[in-house]
Amino acid sequence: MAKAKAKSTRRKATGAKSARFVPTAHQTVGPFFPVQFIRPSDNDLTGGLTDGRPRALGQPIMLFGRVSDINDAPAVNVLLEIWQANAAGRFNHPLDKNSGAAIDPNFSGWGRTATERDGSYRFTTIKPGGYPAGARSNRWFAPRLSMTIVGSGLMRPLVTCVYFPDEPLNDEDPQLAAIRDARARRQLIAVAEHHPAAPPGLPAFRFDLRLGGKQATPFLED
Amino acid sequence: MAKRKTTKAFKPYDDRSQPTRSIKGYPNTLRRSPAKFYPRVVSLADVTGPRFTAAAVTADDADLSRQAPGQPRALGQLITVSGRVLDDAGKPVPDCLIEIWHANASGKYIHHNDPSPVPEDRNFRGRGRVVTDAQGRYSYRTVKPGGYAVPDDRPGDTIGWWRPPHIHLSLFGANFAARLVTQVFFPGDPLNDADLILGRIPDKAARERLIARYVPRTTSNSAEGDAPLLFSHDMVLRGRFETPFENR
Repeated sequence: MAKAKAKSTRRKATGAKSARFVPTAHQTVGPFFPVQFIRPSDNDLTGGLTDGRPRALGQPIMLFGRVSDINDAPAVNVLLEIWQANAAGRFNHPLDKNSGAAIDPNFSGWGRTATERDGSYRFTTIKPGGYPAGARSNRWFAPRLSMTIVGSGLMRPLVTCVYFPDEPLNDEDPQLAAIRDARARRQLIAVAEHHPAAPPGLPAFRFDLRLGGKQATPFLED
Repeated sequence: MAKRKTTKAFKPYDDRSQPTRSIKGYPNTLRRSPAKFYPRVVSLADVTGPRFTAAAVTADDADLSRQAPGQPRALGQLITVSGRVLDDAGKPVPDCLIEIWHANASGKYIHHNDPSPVPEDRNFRGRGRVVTDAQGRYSYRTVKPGGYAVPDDRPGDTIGWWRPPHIHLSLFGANFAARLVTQVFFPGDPLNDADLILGRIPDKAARERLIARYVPRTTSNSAEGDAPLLFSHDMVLRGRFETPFENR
C-alpha cells in the first residue's frame, strides 16, 4: 500500500497535464475599478429600484454595515458581492435541484456594491430561506448570504457568510458548527438594528466587517 | 455504496501559486489583512453562482480603444488580447463574464482616485466587458497601457515603485467559488520583475502565467485594416461541478 501511495504521488508530481491547469493567480482589484461596472440597481436584489421590474417573492430586508481596516479606519472603495438563495431556500442555478423549493424568476440572488467614504455599505434584498446540506443529508444550512470582498490591498478575495439572529437553524448549521470559537460564530450573525434609510416595516440588519486585527471578521479559507 | 462528493468539492488554492496577502511597501495590504482564516464548509452556495450570457454585453463593450464605433481611437499601440478561460480540469468555461479595465497609454486611469499628473485621453474608453463563447474563448481590443509611478506611501520613500503596464481582469466563472480578480502583464517589460504585486507570487511559473504571450501575425497586415498587435492569454478558474452537489 505504501508503495502504491508513493507511485501515485510520483505520478502527480510529474503530471505535466494537471500542472497546466493550476488556477490563475489572484491580483488585487486596485483602487481604480470602474464605477460604471456597478449599476445603481446592483445593491437592490428585490427589484424595487428598477421601474417596472416585478418584485421578488419573500420578506424584503436591508443589510447594512461598515467596513473598516486593521486600525478601525473606514475601508473606502471596497467591493462587496453577495450571493444567496431565494426566500424558499433555492439558488437560481441549474445545479440546485431541490424540487421542494421553487425558483423565483424575479430573484437572481446576486448583488454588489462599493463602500462609501465612511466605509458604509448597504443592500436591499430578500431574506433567504434555509436549504438542505445535501440530497442524502438531513442537515440544513440556516438562512445566510455568501459574501466576497475585493479591494485595493486585498491580494486575494475574502469570503465570509452572513447569518441572521434568532434563527433556529443556526444551531445546526454545518458552517457555523465548523467554527469552534464561539465569539467568531457570533460575529457571523448580523444584528437587527434600525437604519435611518429603511422605510417603516423594512427589517434592517447590521453586519460590520473588520479586515484585520484582533477584532477581524471571521473570513473563510479560500 | 455509491461514491459521493465530499464537502471538499474544490481544492483549496495552492499558496505558492497565489500572491502573499501582505506586501511590504504596499500599505493597504497591511491595513487590510486578516491573519486567521476559518474552515470553509462547501455548500450549494459555493458550487452555484450568478450566471451571465452574451446578452449581458454589446459588441462595443469589447473595444476599450474608443468611446464608440466610428469615434477616434485613443492614443497608443492598438492591441488585441484573446484567449480562453478554462477550469482546473482543462475544460472550457463558457458564459464567463470578464470585466476589463486599465490605464491609458500614458499610465493614467479614468477614475477619480487617480491623482497622476500624466495626460488624460478623452478618446480612451478604459473599460470593457466580454463573455466567453461555448469554447471558452474571448477577445478584446484596446491600446497598450502605460506603466505608472505609484505614489510614495510617505514623502521621501526611496522605493521608487513603478507598476508595469498591466490590464485588470475580473471574472465570474461557473460558480461562486470560481470568482477571480487578476491582472495580465506584457512580455519583456523590465518593470515586471520589480513589481511588488506580480512579484509576490512565490512560484515563477505562476507569475509567468500572468504574462500575455506575443502572437506573431500570420496573415497580411492589410487584412484587418488597422492591424493591431496580437497577444494571447489563457486563464484557469477553480472548480467544475457537472453533477448535482451532494454533501454529507
